[in-house]
Amino acid sequence: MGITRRALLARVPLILTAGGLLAACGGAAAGSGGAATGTATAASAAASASAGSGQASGGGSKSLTIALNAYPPKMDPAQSTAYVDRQVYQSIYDSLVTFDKGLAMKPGLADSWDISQDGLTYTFHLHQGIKFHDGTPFNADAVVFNTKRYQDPASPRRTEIALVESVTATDASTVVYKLQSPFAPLLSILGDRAGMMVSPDAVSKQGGNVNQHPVGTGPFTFKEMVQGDHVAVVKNPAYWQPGLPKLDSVLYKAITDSNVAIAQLKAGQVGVMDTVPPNNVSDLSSDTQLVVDSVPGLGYAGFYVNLRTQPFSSQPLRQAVSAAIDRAAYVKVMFGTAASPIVGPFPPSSWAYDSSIAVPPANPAAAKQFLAQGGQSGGFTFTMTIPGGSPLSSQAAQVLQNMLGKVGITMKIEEQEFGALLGNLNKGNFTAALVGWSGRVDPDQNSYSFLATGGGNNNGGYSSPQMDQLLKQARVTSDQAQRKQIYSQIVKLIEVDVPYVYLDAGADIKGLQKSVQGYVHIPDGLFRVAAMDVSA
Amino acid sequence: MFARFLLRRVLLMVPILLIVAVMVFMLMHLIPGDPAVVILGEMATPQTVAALRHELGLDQPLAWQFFGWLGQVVQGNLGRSLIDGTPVVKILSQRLPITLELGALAFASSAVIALPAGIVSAARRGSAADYGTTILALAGLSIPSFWLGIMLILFFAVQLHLLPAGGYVPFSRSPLQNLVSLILPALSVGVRTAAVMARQLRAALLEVFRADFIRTAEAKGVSRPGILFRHALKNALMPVVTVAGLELGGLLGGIVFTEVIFDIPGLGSLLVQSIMQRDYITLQGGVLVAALIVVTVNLLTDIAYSLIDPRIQLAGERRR
Amino acid sequence: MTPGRMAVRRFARSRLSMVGLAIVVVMALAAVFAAHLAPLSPITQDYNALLQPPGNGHALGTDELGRDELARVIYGSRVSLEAGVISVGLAVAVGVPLGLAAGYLRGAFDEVVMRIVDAMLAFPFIILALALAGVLGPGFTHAMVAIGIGFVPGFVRLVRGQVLAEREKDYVAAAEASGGGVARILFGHILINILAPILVQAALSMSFAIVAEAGLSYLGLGVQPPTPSWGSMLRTAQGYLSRASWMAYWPGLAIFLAVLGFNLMADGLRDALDVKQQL
Repeated sequence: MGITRRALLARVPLILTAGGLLAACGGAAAGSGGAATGTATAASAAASASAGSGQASGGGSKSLTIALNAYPPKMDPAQSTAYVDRQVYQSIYDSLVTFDKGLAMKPGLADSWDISQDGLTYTFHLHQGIKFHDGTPFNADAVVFNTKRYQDPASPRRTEIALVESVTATDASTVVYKLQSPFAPLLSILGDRAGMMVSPDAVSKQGGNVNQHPVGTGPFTFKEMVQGDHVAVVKNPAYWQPGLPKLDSVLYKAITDSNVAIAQLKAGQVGVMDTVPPNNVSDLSSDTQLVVDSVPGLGYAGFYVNLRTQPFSSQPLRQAVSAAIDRAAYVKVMFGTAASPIVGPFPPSSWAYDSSIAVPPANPAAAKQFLAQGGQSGGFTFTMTIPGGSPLSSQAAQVLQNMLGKVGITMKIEEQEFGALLGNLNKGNFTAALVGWSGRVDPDQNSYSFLATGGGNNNGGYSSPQMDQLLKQARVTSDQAQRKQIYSQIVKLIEVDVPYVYLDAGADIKGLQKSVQGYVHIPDGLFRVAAMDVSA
Repeated sequence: MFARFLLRRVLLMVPILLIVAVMVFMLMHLIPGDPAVVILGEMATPQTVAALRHELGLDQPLAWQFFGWLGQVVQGNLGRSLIDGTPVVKILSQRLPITLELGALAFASSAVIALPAGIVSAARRGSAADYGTTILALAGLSIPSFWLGIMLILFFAVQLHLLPAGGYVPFSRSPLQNLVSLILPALSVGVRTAAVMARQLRAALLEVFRADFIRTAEAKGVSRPGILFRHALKNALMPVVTVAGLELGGLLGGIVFTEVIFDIPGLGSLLVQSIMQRDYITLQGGVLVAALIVVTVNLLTDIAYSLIDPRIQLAGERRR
Repeated sequence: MTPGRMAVRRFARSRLSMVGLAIVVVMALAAVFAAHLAPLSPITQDYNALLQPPGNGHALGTDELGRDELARVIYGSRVSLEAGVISVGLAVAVGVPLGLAAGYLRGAFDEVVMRIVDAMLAFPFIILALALAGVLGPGFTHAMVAIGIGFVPGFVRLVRGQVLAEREKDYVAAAEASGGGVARILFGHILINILAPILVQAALSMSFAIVAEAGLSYLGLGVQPPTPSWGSMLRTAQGYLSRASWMAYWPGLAIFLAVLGFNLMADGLRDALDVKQQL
């Protein structure tokens, strides 16, 4: 048939750690020695002019297909809670500031910024002459407009910028953020969704959000989306950064089954695979056409429990569940040595990780005691919602089901498409949900919005004055050693309150065709597609 | 005569379509509990539930709801996806062509397999080839399309690295790759239809061979292949066309699994996806379209049938 | 020789029919005596024996959670057979009386029932079952109901057609003349005379039901874990094709054989009972 298809092998189970089943995520935070930065700029290699799926219709144009493990549910940063959304945003939107590979902040839509001595005032000087994809100008008013949307109580962004008191445009290219109290993670937060700029005109034309047709200033413009399948973007010829983007089009393809994604990567249909399960690394590494690139992940995996309803409104019953789980065995079955069991939101790669807090082994006796305390000595039944179409999630759920079954807790498994699952999670419409977090460098971004009362990602409805106080304290403390102590207290409180059941933390692993160039593995895991290219 | 038959046959569709519409409409009302609550979740405020009920028309009397919905459907409005508000018609227009392409390829591949198999089997009745074809046809009837699909992936993709394990390449991007990406899916759907057609063709040919006019031709000294191709095949095709038309429903069912297995963004994977997303509006639209396809193809089958054999017009309704 | 005996003899003489019968009997035995036949529990996870190839204490290997494949295949026959019996039973219970009534009463009732049947037949069977299972929610019971409803129109159409032919026969007229009630005539006389095609249809439906249940379970809409079912085993297996291809062989083979068994039986019954082929 004239076409040589390379291997299509590999179907191996996989991961649920940081990359596998996440909820949301943003850029890595500045400061503090985060994870090492791996670079995997592929050497030249012969291939087609496109990596992953052939030529775009235009003939000799260059295209790249990126495999995501879920379909991105929201195209509007004001509504997004999914990591996969952020991957697509890298092409459509620009943020005020951005990261270099060492996670230091560098200019984005803002050419420069000043921070007042007291840390309460941030002044951004915007790059001039930038236009949104719809031709309307990007200016300080647009920044104010977008930030107000992110402060809306309905936006998951609100807790990220909760300390921002006001945003004002002092002239067409100057924006001033005023804070209630000093807040070190702010810049890194503005390097992610809360700093992304959507065309105000598009928002009003589309009735309040841009989920149907996102319009930003980014290197690529939105072309089409096929619900559940893919989002396609094409080169923005008027992009404000000279020489970028290099590609003519990018196709974000949702492939929920990692085995299918790997088969397509090996066959050359996919140019870049976002989240490679650790068990597949050796298989992919042996393929001479591919590059596998791994850095320690910033996130964690585990499951939400809903504290608003039975049975998990009962603290002893939550403790029973946590005590019944053998985290070490879970990690061994699921990931071998590529992940570590954890009991809190900070992965071993984080400075906030406290190795003196041991991960306890399963304790069936304690679990039964907790059950008795919770008035359910005979055990109880609950439903765990898991992302659909992912054999890994299903495997993980069955391991948990088995472990819980040993102490008399019956866990039912219900699959839901990831976007629908996130929607239900955000609405509090679940009992337990297997959804993790892709993570950020600053520990605040792994903890605050998840554990603080009313936090944007606190989907289980947890509320503890003690926890709120610790979180706030950790937020405004500048000394890292002191912060670490507070975070250790937070983890110890988590072990008692069990607002979420933390299971493991793993690596962020990407798989790429060697023909893909210009790729830098920034630990937040996002592909900066503007600088990426494919060799002819 | 033909016009009258056609008119009668089309009119017969009206009550069927109406009942199909009622059933598709009722799908939404089979959801246990209040659909608005199921969609929004237990934690939803009464206001948002009321708003959604209003948007879905659930606050209206049932009959009113139905005719309101039907009115929209007739105008080509199938509502909007509950997930992101995309018009369902737009979603279907992206996905239906892919399923139709897969269906056409599957059908073509089954005809390519079934015609020679059926002819050889009938012409060499009792031979090893006949026996082999019969056994294979029996196997083809019993093998579930999803297992066949997985086995094809295992063999042609995982072990031989000859064909892609899944994924769909649009025709506009690369006609060749488009075809390549659909070979295994088309086979895994088409095998069952091929088996049905081969069996039917064999039986029909054997019956025709026994008919008087064939014997007459034989007596006149027409050669065996001549008889086969000039006389027998033409007469045997009629029941095959019927069966082929009736098989379309089965074909469409098989396509659901095949699209899921091979990660093809067509109507079938849309149905499964909308179930996984609890997107009942999209599900409703997809099911309606699937039923419309079947009704239309049945009509076309009848017309084709009557063109091949005009006597059928007198007989009126086809039995099945 | 009675017609019944002749039918049994015809059936027994057909080699393929006997093969079909043998497969069905073996499957039924496996389902009933699963607990005695299976070497291990089908749900016990062994984290030291993940993805073991056949051999080594696991005749058919193990799955991704170290569960014994042989035990899971044996227990899977339960779900499959139950699915077939329940859904076909449901379809017979609803479809046969409706068909009897429609064919015998004719008129408006017949007209209404048949229009509904025609409309239902416009839905591809699997898509109807899928949509029903989708709105009812995943689970074994719902899947059974969904599949059973899918079969109803087939039985109604078949039975009605048979009744239309039967009711012109002398024995019906005789029964009517002797003053039997409608129910008595339908169930006491006509039904007995049309049992053969119903039996054939039921056997055929069993094979469809087994495929449908496996299909729904493959999509995650049927039996829920940890209960082993062939369909959900296949679904998992698809993720391990390059590392553990055996996981895809056994459940698929089991479905194939079960379907083949019922298909052969249906063919054999049709010939033995001299039922005219329905297009």
